[in-house]
Amino acid sequence: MLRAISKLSPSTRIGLTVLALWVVATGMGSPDGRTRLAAVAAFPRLTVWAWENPEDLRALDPQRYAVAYLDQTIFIGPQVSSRPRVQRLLVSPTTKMIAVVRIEAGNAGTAINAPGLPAQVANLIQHSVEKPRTAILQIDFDATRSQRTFYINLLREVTKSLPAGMPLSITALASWCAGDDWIGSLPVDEAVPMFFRMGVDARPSNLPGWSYPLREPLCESSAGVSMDEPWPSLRPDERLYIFHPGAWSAPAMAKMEAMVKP
Amino acid sequence: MNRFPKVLILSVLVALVILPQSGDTCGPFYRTPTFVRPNGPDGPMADFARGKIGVVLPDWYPAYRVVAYRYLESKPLSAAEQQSLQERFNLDQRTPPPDQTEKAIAEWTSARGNYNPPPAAIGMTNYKTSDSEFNSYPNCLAPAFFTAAATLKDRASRYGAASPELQEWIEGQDAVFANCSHNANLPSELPATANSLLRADRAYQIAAAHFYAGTPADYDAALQGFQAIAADKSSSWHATAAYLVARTLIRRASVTADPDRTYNPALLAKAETQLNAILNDPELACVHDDAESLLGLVNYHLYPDQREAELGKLIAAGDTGSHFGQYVVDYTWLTHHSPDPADLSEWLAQGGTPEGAVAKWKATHSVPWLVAVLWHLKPEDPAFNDVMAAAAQVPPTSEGYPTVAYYRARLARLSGDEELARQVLKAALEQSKTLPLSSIHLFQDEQMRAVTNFDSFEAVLWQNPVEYDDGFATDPCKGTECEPQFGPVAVMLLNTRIPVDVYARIAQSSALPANLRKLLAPTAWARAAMLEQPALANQVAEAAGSAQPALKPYLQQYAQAKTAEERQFAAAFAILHFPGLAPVVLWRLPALGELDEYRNNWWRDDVGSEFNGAPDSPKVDVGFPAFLNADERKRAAAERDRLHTLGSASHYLPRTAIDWGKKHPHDARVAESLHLAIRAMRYGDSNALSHEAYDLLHQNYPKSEWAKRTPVWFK
Repeated sequence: MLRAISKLSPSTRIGLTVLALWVVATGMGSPDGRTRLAAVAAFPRLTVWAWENPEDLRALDPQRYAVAYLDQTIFIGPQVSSRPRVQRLLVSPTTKMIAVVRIEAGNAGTAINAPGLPAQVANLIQHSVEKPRTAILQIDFDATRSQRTFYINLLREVTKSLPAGMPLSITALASWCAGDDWIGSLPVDEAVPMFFRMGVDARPSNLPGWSYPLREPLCESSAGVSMDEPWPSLRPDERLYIFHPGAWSAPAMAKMEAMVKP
Repeated sequence: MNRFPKVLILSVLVALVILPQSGDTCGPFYRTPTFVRPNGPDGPMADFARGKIGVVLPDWYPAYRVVAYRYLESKPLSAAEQQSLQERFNLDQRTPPPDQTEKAIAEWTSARGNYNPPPAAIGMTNYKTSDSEFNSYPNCLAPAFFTAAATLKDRASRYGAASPELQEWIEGQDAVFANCSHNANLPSELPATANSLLRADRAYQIAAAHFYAGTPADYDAALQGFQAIAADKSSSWHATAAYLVARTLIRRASVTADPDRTYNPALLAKAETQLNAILNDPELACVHDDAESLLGLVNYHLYPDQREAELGKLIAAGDTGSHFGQYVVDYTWLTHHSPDPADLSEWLAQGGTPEGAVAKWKATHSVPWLVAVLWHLKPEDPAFNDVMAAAAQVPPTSEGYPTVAYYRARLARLSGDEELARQVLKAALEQSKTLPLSSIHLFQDEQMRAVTNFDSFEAVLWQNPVEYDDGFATDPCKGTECEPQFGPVAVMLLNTRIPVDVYARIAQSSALPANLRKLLAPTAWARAAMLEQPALANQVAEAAGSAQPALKPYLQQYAQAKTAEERQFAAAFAILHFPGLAPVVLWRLPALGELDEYRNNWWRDDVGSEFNGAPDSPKVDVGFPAFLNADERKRAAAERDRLHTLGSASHYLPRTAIDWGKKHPHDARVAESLHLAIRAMRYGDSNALSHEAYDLLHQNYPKSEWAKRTPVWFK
């Protein structure tokens, strides 16, 4: 291979070098990128979100369900602080786990632009990455327009210390995946469009099976839905993240089972 | 020369330029003004805590209604209760009150830093991972650090800063706090020959270290240690240790609870016994306050129904001092299922039904229950006259007066007694200086319907936003946001209940704030033009042109149009150029000539009759303003219907352009109007006529600039 390259003209070699650099810079075709995408694809199609409630999810079949649990909430305001999960979470020993980090920056104001903030917050996020069972890291941050630069820089910082092969997922407002293309360049493996509590994004229908025009490829492989709101039209291969307001109960899990059956 | 590298490098550079960058693009994070806070009082919280409750609304969060209840009952919060409330609640309940732990750690760290050896840093947080691998718990709490800082200061003054005794104490305390987030060594035992105070301190430190270490064996050791200290009356820690016996039991009850429970009830019961013993021992008075708080926690979990009833009575009775905030937290978190509910609990549930509220009011004749009845009363209800008569008796000095007056005025209007509504409003607004802005706006909204002449109507038509909401958080207005605006009721009246000649008169009035005149004058022109009232449109054109000079050439074209059909086209042609132009006032429009990528342009098919289509916008019931005569009301209704018939901008504007274009293909404006029509649909709410406009454009004007600029149509 090297010998073959050496036979090329200098200008061609320069061209190929630039091409190679471009491929590396954009992450296209990197072994780690492929590994991360494969890791996401190898996860169960269904993921249950375990939020701020005591949860006993041992009854979930680990072959069919992963669990994305809120591991910590980071508050960004005049100061930065972290509140770890305080609610108990019980899962099967073989359940695949996604550690979710929620970021609250409603009181951040201009503090969000502090130069060292992305590294500081990434350092806190690292605690979730280092949990022994974390297989995917998911960040949940409803970044406002003025907070996007911070978010981009934060994700770049997080990826620096992410273990090789560990996918990075983010939740995304539905509009980020539709008319607002800002997330396309984020260094993430998955953006989960949130098809519930849509607020200003406005769900187009109150009947199940509604559709929302997604344009962003990062958002096409998964969907976030809630047990108390009508679900959009879903593809059979789409990875589903399922939210339940309040703790998951046996009836709620039975209802979910019925809803996810093809 | 091989061009491959050059082309490639150029491609890469182009790609780098056009690939999505950091993305400072527009998002749908519209900041919407709030004119009446729907779920809670106006700020600042201190004013509300002091009793500036204004008009109390039924949708306020329960904690705020609890406070309102106290004032409606003429039982003001004491200074301690006010302070306590503010420590636990902010204005939107969205963020927890400031955690004292960070401050406490800082205080200890600062005190500790004055002495050698230099202290090891406390962990990232004060949380410790539990046996379950996924969750943590707050381990060392703020009082521990405050107490340690105070004790350090005291011991330093007793022993001397460089004394071996102080070094020993510091080593022991460092060992205690090393267990906050990690499992560390325990302080060592001291020999019997050591200083007695130091030995007492060390015994306490060892028990505390076991408590924070948190293994089952450690909890046993902590319990034994605190029990021994509590029994040792010579120890300065004996009262605190008695309290910590209960805390150890509760902590253990928490970490050993079954998966489906928060606490182990058997251990909580033991803690209850210990806390009652403390409260019955006058010698332990110094920890009674803390013990009472802890007993509240125990009762919350052991006896939720009784605790709810108890808290309801305690809060209503007053004099809860610094417990008030926590009581309200506990009370509003408890599920209200008590078989013996307090009056406050029933009031929060608004009597269960409107009839239930009426029954409670008849039984109590209290102001809170009068308010609860007024919230849902209708003129046709049997109790209407009795309730209105009782409402009239509430004096202006009552804390309930603003609420009662507001609902009384509203009900008077709804029952057709507009004169009474005016009298009540006039009297209530004499107190406007003491009212929160939201309450003033509520009264103002009623005034808009009740005033009997144009000048008075115009004078109450605008409001200053209380705050802004971006969907995530609320904050005060900034810059031009703080200028006067039309609130929901004013918008509804303008859009649906005002005839266009009156609308135009308002738009041209010098009494209207300049920013609103600038907004309203172009809409008045568009409204008159679309309603085919050319004389009025031309009359208001000067004001519209002054407000928005970019409109002037199009206003002139309209004025020069010779037929009704041409005028309609000229109006549509003008409007097509300005995405921020509509015949109505809308909640959000881009600046006149700017296009909003989220399709909030021109107007939708409700033509402004659904408070602007804003997300979660309030539904307001509006009648005709009292100052309009019968003829004006009739015309306003007909015009509203006419605008509805014309439909959304995505229908009306393209239809007008296509129809004119088919009949007048030589009009030089047609190609441009078709291009603009396709754009209006693309960035409006329907593309139904896009294909038709595209075909006409490309068939009749294939070589025009406008056809080139319109390569596609949209579905």
